[in-house]
Amino acid sequence: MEATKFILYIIWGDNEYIINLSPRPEVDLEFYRREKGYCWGVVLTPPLPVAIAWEVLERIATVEERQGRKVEGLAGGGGNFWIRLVKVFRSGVDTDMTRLISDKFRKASKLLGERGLTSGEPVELVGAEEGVAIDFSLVARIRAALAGRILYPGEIGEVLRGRGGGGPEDLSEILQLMYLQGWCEVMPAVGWKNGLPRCYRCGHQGEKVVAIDCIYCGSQGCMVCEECIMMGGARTCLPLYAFRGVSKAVAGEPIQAVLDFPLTPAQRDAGGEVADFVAGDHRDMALIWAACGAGKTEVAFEAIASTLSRGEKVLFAIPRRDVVLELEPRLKKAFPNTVIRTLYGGSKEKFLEGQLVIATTHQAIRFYRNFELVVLDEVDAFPYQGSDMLHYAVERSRKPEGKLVLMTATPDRDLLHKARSGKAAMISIPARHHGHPLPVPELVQLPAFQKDKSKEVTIGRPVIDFLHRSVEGEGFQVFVFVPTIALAEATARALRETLAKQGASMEVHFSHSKDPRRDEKREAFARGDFPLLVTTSILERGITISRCNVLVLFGEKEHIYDAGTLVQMAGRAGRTTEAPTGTVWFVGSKVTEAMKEARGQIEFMNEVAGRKGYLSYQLSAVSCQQKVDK
Amino acid sequence: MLKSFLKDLFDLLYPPKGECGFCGLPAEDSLGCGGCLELFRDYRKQEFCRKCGKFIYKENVGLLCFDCGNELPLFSFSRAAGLYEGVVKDALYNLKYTGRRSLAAPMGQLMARSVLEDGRYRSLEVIVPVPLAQGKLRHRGFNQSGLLARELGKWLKVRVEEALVRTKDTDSQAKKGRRERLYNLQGAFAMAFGQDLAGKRVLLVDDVLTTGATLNQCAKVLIDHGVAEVMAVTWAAGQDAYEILTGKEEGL
Repeated sequence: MEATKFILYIIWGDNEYIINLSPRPEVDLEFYRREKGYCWGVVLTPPLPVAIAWEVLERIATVEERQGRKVEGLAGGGGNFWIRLVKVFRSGVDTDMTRLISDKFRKASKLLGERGLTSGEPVELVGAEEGVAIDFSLVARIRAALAGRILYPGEIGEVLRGRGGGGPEDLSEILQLMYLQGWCEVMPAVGWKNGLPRCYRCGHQGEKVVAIDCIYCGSQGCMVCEECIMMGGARTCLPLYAFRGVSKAVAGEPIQAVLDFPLTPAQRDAGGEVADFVAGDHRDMALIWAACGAGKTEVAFEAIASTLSRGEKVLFAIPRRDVVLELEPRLKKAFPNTVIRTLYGGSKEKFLEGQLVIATTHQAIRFYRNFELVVLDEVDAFPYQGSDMLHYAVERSRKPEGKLVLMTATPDRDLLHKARSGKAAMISIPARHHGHPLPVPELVQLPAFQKDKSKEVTIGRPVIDFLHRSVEGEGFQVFVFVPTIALAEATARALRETLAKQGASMEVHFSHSKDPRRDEKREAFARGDFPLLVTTSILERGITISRCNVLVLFGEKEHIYDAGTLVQMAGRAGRTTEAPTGTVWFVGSKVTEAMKEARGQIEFMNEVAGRKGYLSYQLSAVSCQQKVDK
Repeated sequence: MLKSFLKDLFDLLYPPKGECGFCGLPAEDSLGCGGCLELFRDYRKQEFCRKCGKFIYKENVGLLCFDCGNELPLFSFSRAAGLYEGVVKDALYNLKYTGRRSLAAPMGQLMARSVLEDGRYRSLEVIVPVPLAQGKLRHRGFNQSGLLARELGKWLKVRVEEALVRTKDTDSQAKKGRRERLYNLQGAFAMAFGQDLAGKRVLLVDDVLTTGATLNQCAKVLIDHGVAEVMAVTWAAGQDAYEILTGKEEGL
């Protein structure tokens, strides 16, 4: 994307001056001439990459000066009485201005000199000869199209073209006018904060902002942010235009979520709590902690419906694209009369406006204070977890007064801490629709299977027995989870050999993230074509197999198997009404803290479900309580 | 407040590990993690075509690769830092298409190691990157071969000259067959204005060698302008087609 260069200027009238930056200072002069009657201007710098111009402006001008500083004879002068008196005799502001200009110019040149740039001489600013023609219809179109967005000039052009009807090639003039009107904010995509390079697009501050030789702005000191480079590189010489979101103040028809199945009591209660939270809670964040397979998506529907009814906007964000695609038809069915947009990498609706936006967390990076309600599903999933960029993007897409609802089956310590300390409201959905408790994993300690040198895997007797029991005894399929791709292959091979030796005819397949036939195998397994699937944690979420048990091997690899991952894997078992129970084994050469924590979380969910009376089968509240007491 | 102070203190005592640019795992070395460096060490030890640097199978030691056997390239010889697959391929993709320019530093350094370990390069005097067409340069913002050349220049202490220009904005080579690639490049390069490398020994730098057509065309232009010798180095090279043609596929 081409760079837009900015120029620092001073514009003044009879009793006020403004120091600011613009890609076309003559536009600014024209604007102030019309608005305030200012007629003089001086350009202080040559065209500069936006971040440098921004930095210089911040250093030489106060906030007051940037917004317009009043200077009126004695009142504006200050200092020595005699000097003030002399000023009165001179012709007022203009003489002050010459001193001010030379002072600001000297400061700016010094700052530019530090960066190896030359500043030339201050030049008088002449207004555009033919005046600045403002295309008001274009302004209106831009405002409508860009509300709630934060975009590069190139992307703005793309939006306008995508919405039909062209616009000028160079939008810098019209965008500058909108900035002067206060309709948008301008910032460099990469700038400095407290002396450190910072990406204003993704919020990254640190070593991933790297210096480059930029062919667009031609400066050696240009920097690019490699954190968000997948979404179009943010550079020192690229400006970002941020337009605050506007909502319809008037409420439309009340909207109700349409569901063709009844909610479970647990979902209904939680749904009510979420709606109450969104309607009026002093906190701005809520955590929905749901048991795996308890149906957390629907729980947010009531709150979404009430927000939409008020004419406000909702973002439903999920870290992964396949889940976005899966969710789209469900939400479209539940909200048939709402304009719903689905955004992901490569989506065609990227720049269209919608009441309800379903998006991958990455896409939130293009929104700016737009949504009254942000629902974030699978908070703990890759890549959202551990990504400061995505946290920042989701946080920024919400209006300052908006609400954030986080949903997860496996909250991390940080989230739990927030909920317990009262910073976030906590809402739980502890039971699945069939009313059975979650299968509690058994922690099994077996010596290591892997002989490291030869990378061979041997399978222990108890594990083989478990597989026989599951497949031949109960007629269940078994998910075998392993930590790495290499182990998936090795384990599948070892299982095949061991089972073949015993004369058992169990088909074993393996799959992992780099497996080109992974979707095919997943579907075949879901159809029940073969009983054993060895897989890395790619299948830990979002797959429902009716009758299955779960076996987690190499559980001692704690850096891969944290508590959250283990809970998700255990959550594959017992999801359907026809087979509401299942057996889960965590097998490792030692019993890790993560295993214990995962089991603790599952037991806690069961306990809460029992206490609230959501469990209709087997474990009554009393027996559950007893178990916990033990 | 206290938390952030403690974190700073902890970071000071135990500096946080950097990230390996190739695989993203924690790495002590600025170059990359242990696993990736081991991989590149292996590549440097592997058998390669003495002419174009493509990786060949053990049984064919001392032979030329299939392509060079058919027609010898005009450059004297070439080496590659790694085989064009896995992390090597990913790294190039991330540099070229994702735009992660910080990868050029470790990549260039690894290429420099390949050059330094090979005695044949001892006489080189100038480094010349394979140029990129203007249109593509504007679009991408940088020439990946140029970045690699600059890093190489730094490590080998040899000057870098952008002596070649691309006169024809050819279609991408990536999706073409061998014959098409050769045809596609006819007359695509020329000497830059005011450059004179006559009598010099030149090291051409490119990102990847598949058929060697690009390097060959560049070498032709340089030799036509009186360059004494053209050597080449690339980040990645393909595997020799010979084994595949005789039916012995890799790993089977």
